[in-house]
Amino acid sequence: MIADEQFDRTFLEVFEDVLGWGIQISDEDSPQTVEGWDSLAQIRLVHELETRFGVRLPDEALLSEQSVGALKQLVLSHAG
Amino acid sequence: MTISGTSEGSARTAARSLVAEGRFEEAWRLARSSLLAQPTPTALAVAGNVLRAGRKAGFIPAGSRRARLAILCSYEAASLVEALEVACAALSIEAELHLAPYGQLEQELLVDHGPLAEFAPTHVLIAPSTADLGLPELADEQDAPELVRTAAGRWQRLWELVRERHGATVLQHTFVVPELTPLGHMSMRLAGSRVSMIRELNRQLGESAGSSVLLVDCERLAADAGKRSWQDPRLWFGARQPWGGDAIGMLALQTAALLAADLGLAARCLVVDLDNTLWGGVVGEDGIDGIEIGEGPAGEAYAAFQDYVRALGERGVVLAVASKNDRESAEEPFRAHRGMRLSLDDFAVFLADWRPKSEQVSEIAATLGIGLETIVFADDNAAECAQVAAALPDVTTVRLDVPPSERVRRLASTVRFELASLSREDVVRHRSYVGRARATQLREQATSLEEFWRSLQMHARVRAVEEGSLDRAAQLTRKTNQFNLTLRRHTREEIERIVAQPRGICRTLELADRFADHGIVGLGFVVQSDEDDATALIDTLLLSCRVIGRTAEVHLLAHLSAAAIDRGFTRMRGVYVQGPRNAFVADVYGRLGFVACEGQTGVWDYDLAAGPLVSSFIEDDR
Repeated sequence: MIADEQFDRTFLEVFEDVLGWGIQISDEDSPQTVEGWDSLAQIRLVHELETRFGVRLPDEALLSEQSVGALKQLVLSHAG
Repeated sequence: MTISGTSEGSARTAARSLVAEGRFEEAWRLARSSLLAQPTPTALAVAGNVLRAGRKAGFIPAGSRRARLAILCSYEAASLVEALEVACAALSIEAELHLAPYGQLEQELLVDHGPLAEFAPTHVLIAPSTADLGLPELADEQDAPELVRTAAGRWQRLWELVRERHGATVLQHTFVVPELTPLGHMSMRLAGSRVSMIRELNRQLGESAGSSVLLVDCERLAADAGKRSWQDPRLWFGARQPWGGDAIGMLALQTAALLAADLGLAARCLVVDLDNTLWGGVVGEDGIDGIEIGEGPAGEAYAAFQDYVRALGERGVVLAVASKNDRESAEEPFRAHRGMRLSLDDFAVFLADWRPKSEQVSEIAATLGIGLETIVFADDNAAECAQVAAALPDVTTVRLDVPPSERVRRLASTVRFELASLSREDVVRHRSYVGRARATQLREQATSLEEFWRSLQMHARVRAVEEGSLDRAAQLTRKTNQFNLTLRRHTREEIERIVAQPRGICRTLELADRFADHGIVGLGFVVQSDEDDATALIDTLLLSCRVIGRTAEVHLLAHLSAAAIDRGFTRMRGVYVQGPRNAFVADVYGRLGFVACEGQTGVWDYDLAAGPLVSSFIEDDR
């Protein structure tokens, strides 16, 4: 899998579904900079990302506070 | 790799653009029906986003009943509560929710003038997980009953507190039986195993719930979803939430459905279509012999669907038909097709005409004097469902646009028929229900096979293969591997050729006993032998496995031998051809008085001068 336009669109969709439609996020954003991105949202993000991209992320992903960009890399590195 | 969620994706896109245009009512309708059809995380997120965006603009979905639901949870329930909010709205409950701090079950209920009392709940959801029980993997057998009683006692005591201190109704999640056990299969045999104790605990909770406690059968839900997806150990270890991401929506929707039932919001009436819903095919075009019901893979699937619908009816759901058909053709299968499980008497209203379905459904509601919101409409045609949904948004539609074998699952997935209670009067004690119980009794009582056969009161119809039974006959030759003497596979055309032979005999056997009608389950073909014209050769003799061991083969041979005598044959020859699974019929002919041919293994002759074979336990239907 590569980080093409479709990948970015799906990624944004997941964030919008979990954090609210119309939310603006960039790769630099993280739980510290986005309102509502709390631990509960993180759990949902991980589950939705796993479902939509067909990957299984490491257990640590649930609790870590990494940036959007880092999460993208994580999804890509776990995709077949 | 695929990126999933296409149909949900389109629901999301449509709902989003409606929200962007400020059309919240329509966006909500769309999100709601997608959530009710399947409470996936995406459907839940879409519905939640429509509600959030709507709320900012002052849109609140119409609710028919109010509830104040307090949630007492032993785990981190923030996800569950958010999902419950959406699920309640989807089921027309205007609910106010209150989440108590987790793990504080007794404390919350016991404290006077606390936040719970202030909230004044109408309903209290007690949501524990199996981990709360702290039961050992294996207890002493003598200690197990006491351990289970103590475990049950904790929840029963909480129920009392909810009732006495808050005058509220209890909703309780029961316990998921662990799917992993170091005892393996042995665990079910030991009363002291954790698995056995939790099963027993659930049973005791069910028994003691009474009318003021509503139990959510989490064990059944988890089994249906698959325990591996129902529970996510990662979330338990990392966030103290036992359920997996896919389970939350289902758990919330099922819980809300029980609450809705308690508030009197459950559906009361199921309206079904006929063609391609209750049977395969279109009776007006294919004719009564052309529709699929009762026999064959699709026919059996439709029969199973009818059984499920009928069981809903017996449980108190009012059944009705809305069909685009001539009334006469619509009723014909009910009057004349033996494969039908439902009868005209099962339906309170039967509409077959050419009006739009929404008009038919409106008339059904008016005739029964019930609200449209209490109606579930099920149709295989997505367009008809859409028409009804657009014209009558209060009606719940179930799209049966899945293969016949998936229909029961699809219908069962609607939570609108949940029951808060079931009175004796709700249940019609249907004859078949009693009948099934009697069948078991009979088998236990009969002391000899002859007695058992006689007690079954078997009736048969042996008929010449005809246009309407050709396909079934060909299918039987293809599929029957056990009770099949020659294992000859015949196409429809080959059977037609045997039927056309002047001395050919082709018979189907339908068998019914006092409990069930099995339909066409036997087949016998006899042709003139190539070697001499006095010998009738049994080309095919087979029985479906459902009726093996009931002397049906004798009955079939009795008819075949009588027909052979009529056609002037003096000898009937049976052949056994060995296959992988038919060894147990190798000596059928020998047991029935045929004589083995010398020098030819597997060939048996019957002297027709002795008259036809006699069938003693099956009577012929006229």
